[in-house]
Amino acid sequence: MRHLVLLLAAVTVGCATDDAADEPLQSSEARSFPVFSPSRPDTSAAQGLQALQQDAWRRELRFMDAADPGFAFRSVRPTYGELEDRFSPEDWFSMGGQLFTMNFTEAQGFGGSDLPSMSRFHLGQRGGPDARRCSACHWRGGLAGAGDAADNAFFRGDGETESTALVRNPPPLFGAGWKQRLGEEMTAELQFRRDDAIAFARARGEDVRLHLEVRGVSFGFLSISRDGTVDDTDLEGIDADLIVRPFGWKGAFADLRDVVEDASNVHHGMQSSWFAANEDPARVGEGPTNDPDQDGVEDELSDAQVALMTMFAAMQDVPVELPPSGSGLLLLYARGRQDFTTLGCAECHVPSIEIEDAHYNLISRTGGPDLSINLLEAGAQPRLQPDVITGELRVPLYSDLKRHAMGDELAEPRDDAGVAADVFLTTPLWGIARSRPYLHDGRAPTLEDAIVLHGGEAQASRDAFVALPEDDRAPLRVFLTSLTRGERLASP
Amino acid sequence: MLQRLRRLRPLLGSAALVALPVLATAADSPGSTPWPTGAPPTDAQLAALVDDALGLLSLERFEEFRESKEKGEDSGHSTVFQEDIDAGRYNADELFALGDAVFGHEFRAADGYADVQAVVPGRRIHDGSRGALDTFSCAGCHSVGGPNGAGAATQNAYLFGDGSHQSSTVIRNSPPVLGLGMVQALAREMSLDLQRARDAALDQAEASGDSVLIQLRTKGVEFGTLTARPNGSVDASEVTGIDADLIVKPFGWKGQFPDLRRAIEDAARVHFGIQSGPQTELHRDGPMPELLGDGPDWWDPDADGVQRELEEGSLTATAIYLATLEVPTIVPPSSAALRDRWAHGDALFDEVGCADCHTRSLGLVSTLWNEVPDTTGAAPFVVALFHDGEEPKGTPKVNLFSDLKRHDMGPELADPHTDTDHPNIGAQTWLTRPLWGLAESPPYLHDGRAATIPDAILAHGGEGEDSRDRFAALPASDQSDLHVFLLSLSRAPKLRAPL
Repeated sequence: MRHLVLLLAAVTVGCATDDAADEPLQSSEARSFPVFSPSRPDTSAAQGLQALQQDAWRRELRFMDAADPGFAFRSVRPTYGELEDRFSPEDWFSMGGQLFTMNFTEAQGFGGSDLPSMSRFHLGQRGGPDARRCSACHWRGGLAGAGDAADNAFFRGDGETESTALVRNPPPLFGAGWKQRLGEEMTAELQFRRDDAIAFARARGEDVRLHLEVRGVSFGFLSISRDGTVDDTDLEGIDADLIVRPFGWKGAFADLRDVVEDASNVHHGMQSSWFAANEDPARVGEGPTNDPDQDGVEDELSDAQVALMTMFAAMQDVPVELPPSGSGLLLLYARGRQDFTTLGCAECHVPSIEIEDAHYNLISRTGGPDLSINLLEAGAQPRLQPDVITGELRVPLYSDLKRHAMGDELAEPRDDAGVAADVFLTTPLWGIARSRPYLHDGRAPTLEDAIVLHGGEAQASRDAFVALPEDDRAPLRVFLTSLTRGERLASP
Repeated sequence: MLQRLRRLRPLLGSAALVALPVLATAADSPGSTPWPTGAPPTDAQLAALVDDALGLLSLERFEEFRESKEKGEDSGHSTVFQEDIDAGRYNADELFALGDAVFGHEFRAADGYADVQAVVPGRRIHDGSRGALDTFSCAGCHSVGGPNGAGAATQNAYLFGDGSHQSSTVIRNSPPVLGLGMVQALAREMSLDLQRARDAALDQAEASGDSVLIQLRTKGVEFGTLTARPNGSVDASEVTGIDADLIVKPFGWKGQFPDLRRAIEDAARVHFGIQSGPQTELHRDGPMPELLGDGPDWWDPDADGVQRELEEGSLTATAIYLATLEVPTIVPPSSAALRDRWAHGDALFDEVGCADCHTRSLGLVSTLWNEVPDTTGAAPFVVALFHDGEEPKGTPKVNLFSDLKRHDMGPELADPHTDTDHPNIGAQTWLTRPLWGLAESPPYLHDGRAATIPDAILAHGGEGEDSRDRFAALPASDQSDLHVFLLSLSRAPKLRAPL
């Protein structure tokens, strides 16, 4: 009992709110409440207490918002400067989480006057809207998780007919910050090597054929002429700009902030100030740049709110590999781990890739402070751990962050944004046991269904798996089931 | 995926509303947690909640590894034979666990998913009464606010369409599925009351030789009048809010289903293409190709090679599970200031007239429910509503905030066309939504169009128009107070390791 009381006191004192609540309000009414936290107490009891405290705050804030309409939205609308001056990364996570779970209303800018009130099938690049909040479609496996098949988005259709849209299952946000960082490092290395080779070709007056292999992943070849012109015909799985784009089923985005702004626009009709001012009218609407969707609300999402949501995504916890208990299952797991390589899965679903710098940086586009966190220290728990002996840091993503042709069976009805109909980014498999259903349109309810539907570049591996007798397929399934999300108690 | 341990314990008892100490917390003294009851959980309460959450997690992990080791294990788990239930091989706890397995099971080709034996992409626009392939499990669209909750707007179903165009459909948001055992039992008692009154009137008419006019009234809810004629016929033209059969049908947005068995059977069929054994037997006796398909064999109407896709026993287990889940509770604000506003909102709920249709409570006479099998003729499985299954249970005075009656809600809320399966129910006619658990089940209204509770109130028309107008005329702070009250209609806090 005494132990628990002490624990209680510790948790209460540790609340980020205490400080924020005592501070006088400055230029905005933003306040941080402990509704979400990146930290995970060590014991289950403390975790449970933390979850119940967060639930109590969630309920009370909801009442406060009813009593004073708009309170909840204002409390997560700081100025950009306040992000650094008044709030900590813990606060960013909680405030970003509140935005992530908030039901956006028409008064806040939900929807647009040029759009229906809700539409399941998107109208071109303008979107639906089809959901009130991010967490409506990112919930399976916990906060910021995956979406059910029912949550599929129907992109770039005619706004009315199911068959005109491209169907995409909402992916989980696990470890999203690490994904972006890895993409950035790979991009930098690829571009450096290209530039270096161009300089070399020019200086020596020789043609150069450059094998673009970074961190063990081959992106094909560049042929560089002595005059410095680049032939990218033999590039594989990446755009000609050599930018690794880890987000989106087809590898559409390199930066979480772009993902946040795009998703807010097409799913909720919530347009960030930046997006409204800088995006193509086909995406945001034909109105003036301060209100392109002409719903009478300007600055629907401020730059600071976009930053909060971006940081919330970037700080998401890292999935874990949690083997089964019981010797029988453990043996199968160990065998499956080997089969993953021998069957060829690991060729594209590369188990882990080394990363150098754990700092996630959000550079302001508008002259505000740059926000930076060390994901090893400030990310949500569980976090990545460097190798205890070598100190090496590897991201256990189970993806090469590269695009591959997956065959006719999985092909979409048409190409999308310059990516061929049958081409998809290798889906990271970390946390896969908590992100059912599988494949881009969520058609596969089980892992085995998903494996069997692989084609194209994966045909040989798929055939090797299918050729196995049932008993020999089990180990791989058991291994994949161990790729899950760390335990964390929550109040639903 | 599992949803439940047998008794996932809540933090608050069902008596949370009664005599809560008004303590200064949260908003009054910044920094301290605004505990709904004014105090943190006791050690024992916390330990019990944590145990439940971890127990469910470890069970789920065990089950998922078992399924990965032996494919089809999960399907085996969710298949229950009625004969085994009839023979007394399961107790209520076991049936609860089996029902939970069905609710969380992701149906697949081998189970009879869809009407081909293959993995196929989903489809959202329903093709007439046959349905679509919306998702794989019940849990897929009942997760908002916690397990067995409501659906997000993305999870709306697009029913009775042309299989292709959104505008051809009627749109339905998935409602939460808590406390349904109480609702089902209330509806049954109300139906029996009304039918007894009708039968008595018929007897009286026959004996007297004169027509007899009676008021239809049960548990304080008026259903219009009915005239019994001496020749044994009935004039039901003045009956309101219920079908002429006088059966209260409490499930479905328009009040189409009399009990959980039929609601579950219909949902599995239209959302997954999973066809029930009992319905297939009915199809044998009177073909229903528009519902089940026109396959050559009556036992497999969707011709996918799988028979009795949902066993009668699985239907029974799921019905018992849904009947014994937790009941929503009222969780008022913590701070004293908000408590005052909450109490004022509570009073306004009556003054504005909300309570005229959203009847605060209906009294249950019997606490037992007979789950009657469809085809075996065996004795029913008797469910003890206030004993079996989960806590909290509430009381026999069921605080559901509905009269379980249909009302005309005006043209603004009308469907674009009538519900093909129930053409007798008008396009703008809806069952009074029970409001318990309201705070945890946004978005609101049948198609999820309203993001907030005030938006939903303001969309009321028809029989709700006067109350709506009274609400709209209130000063802003009174509107807020009513909103505060409605946000207290919630679920008891519980813990869970997200799965």
